[in-house]
Amino acid sequence: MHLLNHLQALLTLPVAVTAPGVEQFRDTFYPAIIDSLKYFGPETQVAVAAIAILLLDLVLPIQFSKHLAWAAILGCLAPLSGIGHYYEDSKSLFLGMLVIDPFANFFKAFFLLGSIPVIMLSFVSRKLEGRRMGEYYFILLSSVFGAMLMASSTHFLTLFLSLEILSVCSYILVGYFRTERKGAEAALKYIIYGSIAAAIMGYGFSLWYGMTGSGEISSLARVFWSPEHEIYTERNQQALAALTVTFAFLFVFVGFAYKIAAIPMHFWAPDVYEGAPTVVTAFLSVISKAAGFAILLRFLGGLSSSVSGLAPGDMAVKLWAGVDWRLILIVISILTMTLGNLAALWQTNLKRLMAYSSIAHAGYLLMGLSILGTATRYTGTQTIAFYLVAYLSMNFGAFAVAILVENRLNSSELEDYKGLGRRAPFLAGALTVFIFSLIGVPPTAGFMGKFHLFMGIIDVGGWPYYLLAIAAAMNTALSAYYYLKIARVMYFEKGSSLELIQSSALGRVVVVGMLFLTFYLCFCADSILKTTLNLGMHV
Amino acid sequence: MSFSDSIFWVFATTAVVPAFLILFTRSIVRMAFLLLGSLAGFAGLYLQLNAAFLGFTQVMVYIGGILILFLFGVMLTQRSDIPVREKVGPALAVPGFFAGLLLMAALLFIALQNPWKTHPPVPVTEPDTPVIGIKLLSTYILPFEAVSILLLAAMVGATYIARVQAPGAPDGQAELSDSNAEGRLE
Amino acid sequence: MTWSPILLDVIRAVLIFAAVMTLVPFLVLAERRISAWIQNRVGPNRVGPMGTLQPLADVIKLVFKEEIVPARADRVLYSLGPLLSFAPAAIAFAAIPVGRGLQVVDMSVGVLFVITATSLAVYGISFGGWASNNKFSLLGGLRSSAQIISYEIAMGLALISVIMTTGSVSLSQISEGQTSFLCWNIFRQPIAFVIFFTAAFAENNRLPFDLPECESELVGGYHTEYSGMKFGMYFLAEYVAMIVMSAMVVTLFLGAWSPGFALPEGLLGTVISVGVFSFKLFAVLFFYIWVRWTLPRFRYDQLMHLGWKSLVPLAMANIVVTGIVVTIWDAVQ
Repeated sequence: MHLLNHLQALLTLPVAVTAPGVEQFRDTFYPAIIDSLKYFGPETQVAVAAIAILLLDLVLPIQFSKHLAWAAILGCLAPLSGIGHYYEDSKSLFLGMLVIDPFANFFKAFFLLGSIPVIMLSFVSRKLEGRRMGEYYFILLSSVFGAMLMASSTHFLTLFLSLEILSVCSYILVGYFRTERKGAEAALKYIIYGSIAAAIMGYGFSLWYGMTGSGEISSLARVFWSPEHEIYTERNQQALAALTVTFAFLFVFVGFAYKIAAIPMHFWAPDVYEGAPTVVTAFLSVISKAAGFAILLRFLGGLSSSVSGLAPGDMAVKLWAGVDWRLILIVISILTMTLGNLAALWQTNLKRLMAYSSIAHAGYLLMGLSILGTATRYTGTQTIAFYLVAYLSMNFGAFAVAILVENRLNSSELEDYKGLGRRAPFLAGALTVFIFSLIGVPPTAGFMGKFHLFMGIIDVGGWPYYLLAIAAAMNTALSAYYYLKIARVMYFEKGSSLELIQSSALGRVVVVGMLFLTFYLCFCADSILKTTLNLGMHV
Repeated sequence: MSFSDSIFWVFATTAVVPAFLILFTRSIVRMAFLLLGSLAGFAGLYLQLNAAFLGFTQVMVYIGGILILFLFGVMLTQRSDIPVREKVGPALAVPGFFAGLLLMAALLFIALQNPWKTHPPVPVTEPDTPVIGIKLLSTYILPFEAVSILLLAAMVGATYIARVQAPGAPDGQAELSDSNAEGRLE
Repeated sequence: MTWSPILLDVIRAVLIFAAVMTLVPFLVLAERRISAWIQNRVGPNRVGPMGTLQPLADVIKLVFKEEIVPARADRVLYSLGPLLSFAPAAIAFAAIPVGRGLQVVDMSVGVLFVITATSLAVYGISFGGWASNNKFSLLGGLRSSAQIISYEIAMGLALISVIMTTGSVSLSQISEGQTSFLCWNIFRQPIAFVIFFTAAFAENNRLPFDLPECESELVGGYHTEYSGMKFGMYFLAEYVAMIVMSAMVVTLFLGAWSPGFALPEGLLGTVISVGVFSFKLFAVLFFYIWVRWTLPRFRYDQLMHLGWKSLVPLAMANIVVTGIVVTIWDAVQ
């Protein structure tokens, strides 16, 4: 009898302590989370694909390991259907942590499609041959996951976390050739700059949180730009708040600037671009940068509460005592492009040159940010989205050529590109097209991208914008010098060898695809711009 | 000054002063020791705010885990022949000093003067652990899960970079058999 | 006459601290006598009746020994090492209920507190090992930090499954949940018990996991360069940590202060509960000593393999299984 009681006691697990929130959890949170999961399919698929690749690599013999690339491509293609299905939806997910809207969906599709050439180039890259590729594709897909999360985060927590996912994955990818001195140095520099940027950004968030008591990006707009708020009424508090917000804004911007390689966090770019595997450099210069711009757009969009239809003098645009955050962006934009272009003039290594060019392009893209919220024919979001697609085509194209050349010559020094016009006519020709596109010469994608950026700025008017336009025009002229230097080296200088350079078929497919995209974006720019017209943001 | 105020100042001093002293320390192990003090001070502040779970987790994770790994790395790698610091010339040091001073003044001014948004203290229901658990699985479920991807990626990357390599084998090509790896460890 | 609550707290703290401190010398004596018994020797039996005053003689010897600080040692950290090793272990005892309602502080996160405090002991060892400026000491410190961190993970994971079954992180609630004999967590979580106990040996640097101080390889490990009372502190810390860990094993798995059936109310029950707790504690301590003198030492890579490749996955699987069972059980009820 006694024993029976004991047995019963054993079988009756103590009832879990009922905490005050359990009912609320069951009734409101749980259904909301389950509902959010429906829209979270694409990200989940990428994460699952990444982990599946990692596990698959355990059982695959090493000679099949490189074919994990196809699994990775599948992992990038599969989520597209989900994105397409919910493309027009606009909804806040996970109790305010994420949002799904056409803007986020556009960028998610951009990251997924943009990763496919990266994976293909990894497949053809000779330096990655003969290795186990499980970790590589796992980390690549994880960083895509981070980028996708970045595009739709509306809370500082998710923002910071997704930024860190992308960063940590990038550190590993940059140092992927761990025995190479340059690669290790690049990875170390990247980590150190990355952590400092993250720390400063975190400090900015803390100031922000102290002002608003909320972690949502749009909280500042909600608190400050509601006329009944007390800060509005008291003069001296207003000035103080302006000072605090300016610091918070600048500190948070440092984190973004690091991702897009803009001033003041651009120092890492040249060394990292040069030291990283070339495929990873391509990834960093396009996907990582685009993710940075996506989150920056979202952030500034939240700052001005609603992105479209605000006049430049509108209260919502101004940070307190009349400081317009666009002015800050204009200054940063001018400085970034000028510095990038000036430093690029003396470069003799193609990857290093592309690093400075990428800094300069970050400057151009910041032009698009500075017209955010103004009434122009094409909105800032739209022009940036278009420019990013154009930048993807020309930059991936250029890097694809660089990888194919590197496969043979094992070098990316401009010195070794001498006589490439004879040794590899197709590659040299393609690279020339991409160079022209990077300068912004018609009829290429780069021209259309820049054209719309300039049009936007001139549409807005006002002396800061004219100044910006002049600076951008001068910079374009400046950049022509060093871009054309590449073409000169390839066609007008004799190399020591005349041996033809073979390139793999898949690599050529990527180059042809990018060539096609470069021209297509120019001739059909209007239709593309129209599809990006309604990149509505759900704030 | 009330009792709890003085306790606050003790913890606050423990948190801030070691962090400041790190700037003037040359030995990395001593820096780690100072960091220990700083982290412990913050844990104390959490405890004072009635967040026992958070405070002990802070101690366990940061002091009992991460800092130990710091020390571990430092002890394994520290060599006396590495120059610890390079002299910075006055051309950089003087403007840097003043810029830093200015920034510090501005931040201090902000910290002391800004009308921070405060809300009245929330009464803590004992125990606070279930409350944190429910928060983690409701409002913060997405960050909570996303962190696992981040940690997994970091772990895979760390093992990849630190993987024992057979002597003479090209990078990443040779997979080691278990017995080899053991041989290396000893 | 009314007792102010703070005074009561102080009295309880002093009492329990004193009890633990008195226990240590006798534990040392017990260790020596039991080891002698296991090895078929006589052991210390000269000082006092049955050698009971031997610990006192040892302490006096330690106090009067010359303290030597090695040349080029980091003096500050060298002196702090023993203290950092001792203090956390001594603090940890505050949260452990040694009898029904007898506890210095009843913390809502008691489990976390004790684990946190014991995990801090590694600082004393690694700082001491590093500051001694001796390669054996450094190796001992390194081994210790790697070992403790590795086994702490397994220990924490094992604890999670215990917490999942008990539904509480408070040590007093966990104790009260085990009043009935078959409710003892050793029956509900046998796997967690094995993992926890194994990890406890590693956390205490006890054989078969005493790599940080193994005499045949590292002279004395992290305390090679220590002498006098500083060495005494390390010695003390080791035994206090052992007592704390045993007390945790008793509290978490062996039914705490419960004899297996309901105790009478009032003072009598409390006194019995303290007796029961002490009995269990001594049993576990005896087991500690028994293991030390019967098992050989692990090799370092075997130690790491056991920790990372056996205990951690096992503990994780245990969590999953526990989660499933608890969920099903909740649904059934």
